[in-house]
Amino acid sequence: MTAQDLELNYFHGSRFLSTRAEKGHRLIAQYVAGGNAHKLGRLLRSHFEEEVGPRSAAERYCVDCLLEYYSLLEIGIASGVFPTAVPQEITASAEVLHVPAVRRYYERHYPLLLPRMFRERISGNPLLAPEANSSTRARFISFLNLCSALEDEDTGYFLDFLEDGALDEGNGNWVGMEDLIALLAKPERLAKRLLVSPDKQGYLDASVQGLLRFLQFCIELDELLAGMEDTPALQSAFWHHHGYWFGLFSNAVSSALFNALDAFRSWVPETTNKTDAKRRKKIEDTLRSIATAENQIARLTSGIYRAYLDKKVFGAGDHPSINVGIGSIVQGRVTAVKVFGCFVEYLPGKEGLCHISELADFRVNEVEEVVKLGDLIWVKIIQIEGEKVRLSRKAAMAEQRAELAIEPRAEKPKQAYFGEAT
Amino acid sequence: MSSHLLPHPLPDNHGRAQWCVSRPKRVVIFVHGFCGSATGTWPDFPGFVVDHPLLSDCDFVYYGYEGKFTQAAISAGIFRDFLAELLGDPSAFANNALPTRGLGGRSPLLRLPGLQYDRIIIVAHSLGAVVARLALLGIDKKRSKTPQAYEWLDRVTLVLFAPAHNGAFTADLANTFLTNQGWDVSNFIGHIALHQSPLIQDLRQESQAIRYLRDQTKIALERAGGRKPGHLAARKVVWAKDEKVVVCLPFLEDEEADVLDADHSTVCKPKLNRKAPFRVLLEALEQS
Repeated sequence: MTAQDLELNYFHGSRFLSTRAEKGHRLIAQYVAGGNAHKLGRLLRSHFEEEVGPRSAAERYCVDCLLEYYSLLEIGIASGVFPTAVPQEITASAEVLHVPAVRRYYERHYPLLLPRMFRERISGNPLLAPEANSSTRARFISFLNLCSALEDEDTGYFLDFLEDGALDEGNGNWVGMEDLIALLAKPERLAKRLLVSPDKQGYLDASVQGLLRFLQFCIELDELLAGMEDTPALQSAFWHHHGYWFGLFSNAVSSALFNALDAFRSWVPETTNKTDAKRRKKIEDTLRSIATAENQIARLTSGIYRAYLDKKVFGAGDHPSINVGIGSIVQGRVTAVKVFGCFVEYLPGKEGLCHISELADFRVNEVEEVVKLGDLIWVKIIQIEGEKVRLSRKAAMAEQRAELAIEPRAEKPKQAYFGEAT
Repeated sequence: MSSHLLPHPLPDNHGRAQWCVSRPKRVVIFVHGFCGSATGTWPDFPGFVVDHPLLSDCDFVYYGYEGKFTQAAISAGIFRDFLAELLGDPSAFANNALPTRGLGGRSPLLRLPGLQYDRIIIVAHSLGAVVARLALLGIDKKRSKTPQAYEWLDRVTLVLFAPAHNGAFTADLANTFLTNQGWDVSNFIGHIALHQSPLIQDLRQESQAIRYLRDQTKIALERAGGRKPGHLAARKVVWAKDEKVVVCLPFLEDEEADVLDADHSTVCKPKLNRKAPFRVLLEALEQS
């Protein structure tokens, strides 16, 4: 047994192939074996399009863990830590990556490159040659350590806010990203929140802590990536493993957070009214530190780290951002909400209008009934006239439903589906 | 041949371990400080130690505990029991922690019974120094009743980065609450946020906890009769040049401190362009 085999066996036997990931694998296999591919497709739909109930969310989380496992395998092979000859046992299990509903999940709904790359690898078309030396190995280990920072419970709440927008604290009391941003804008209230002991913390208190940890994670990851210019493929792979979160964090969300945190910069509590020169210096140091963090997060949310693998996987002619045109279904972020519809940024720097009549397949009285600022939505490009681009969310949803053989929501209540899920 | 396995979680959320593939002779146990974490305080050590020619016979344990609200003595009690379990029977501990699921039950890593570490190096940062010292004091006391159970205590070496064993400027310590989590807005709110934590009270200069630590260590050193046992007198102490959190004073029989160009949080963190903390560890291992 070589060292790499040993390492892979160890990895395969450790928490990285967690119980949840195994359950995710079992789940997919059961759906496929039972001839329930359409149900699997429905389970693995985009939650930006249609809300996902708690039971489905738990099952999807298991699938996410499985995809994370395959992603880390790909990175481990690219780092030279694991052998390029993937054992038969793992190759056979990774066949689930070919299942159409699963492919749609990690290619279209939540575009993830690494599972796609691992699928290509086990199909005999590896996209990355390993870069194996003691440095890549050390970096992989540092990266695994960093990944564990996101396992923290508080960080999980923050990421839930980021992804779902809001969480139910019980009694129908929903708290979400807007509350978090509002809280950050009021330092006195935030200071009180930080005093809440862990056993009495609500989602909002916990997510404040989670936000701080997420920022720490971003800073550490950026430091790691910045020192990896000599291994651009690995650098990009590390980024892509967390790229989904940076996508959500970017644009509207991060600017809103940083705008809110501006309030912190100008806030000095009463107790420091008699600040001496030393304390003033500390505050100045603090502001510099915030500026540093902003720069690092700006780097992570920009395209600099992602580009290398994007190009490697999609090539020059097949990149999704190049081939977008009339008829394309793309994911974009709502950048402005108007009475007559909303503007959606579907590519960096490219916006289109989704008219209120194109928002849904039912009558929409107010745009915010369906979308709000910062939402990620799928839209179909239905018209391009010079700089003017018209988009349709209704058409995108209809095509996706047809593809998945999903009945319109109104005709099939959610409960019926949840009752069938296993 | 790789010298170490990937870091792996320890049972009971006690942090992570990086087990060496060959038969280990030494173990290095990292203990983080106030608001730190097993992986966050020592993020780059796992990458540095792997495949290093001088460290191929070392196991590495990154110990984790609740370092924000729990009193130091309580954390020390938990750490004391952890040490007793790990060092009382290292083979059983490692075998229990090593995953075997993917190894088909034929793990070449499983360790034969009877293993004992020749050297035990405890590396602690800030509050971790107080926790580690209190834990070792506790074991020192227990050993007087059952010496054979704790004979490993004589093989302990203490390496301390920015230790808080003389207390801390507590408002600034509270500030590390957020700086350790990446958001240094706390210079002016940290003291509001955490001044109620019993742990902060513990770390005030001349607090009961700090006085207890010093007095009991003094008694234990006197009992040692002129020797300077490694579990009572630190072999290596490192201060940060830009230290503003802990009180930098010699502690009883500890060795003279070295000073690194860093601040309280970074003094223990090696980076690709700043390997000084890693060199401190290597020196300590060579001396031990």
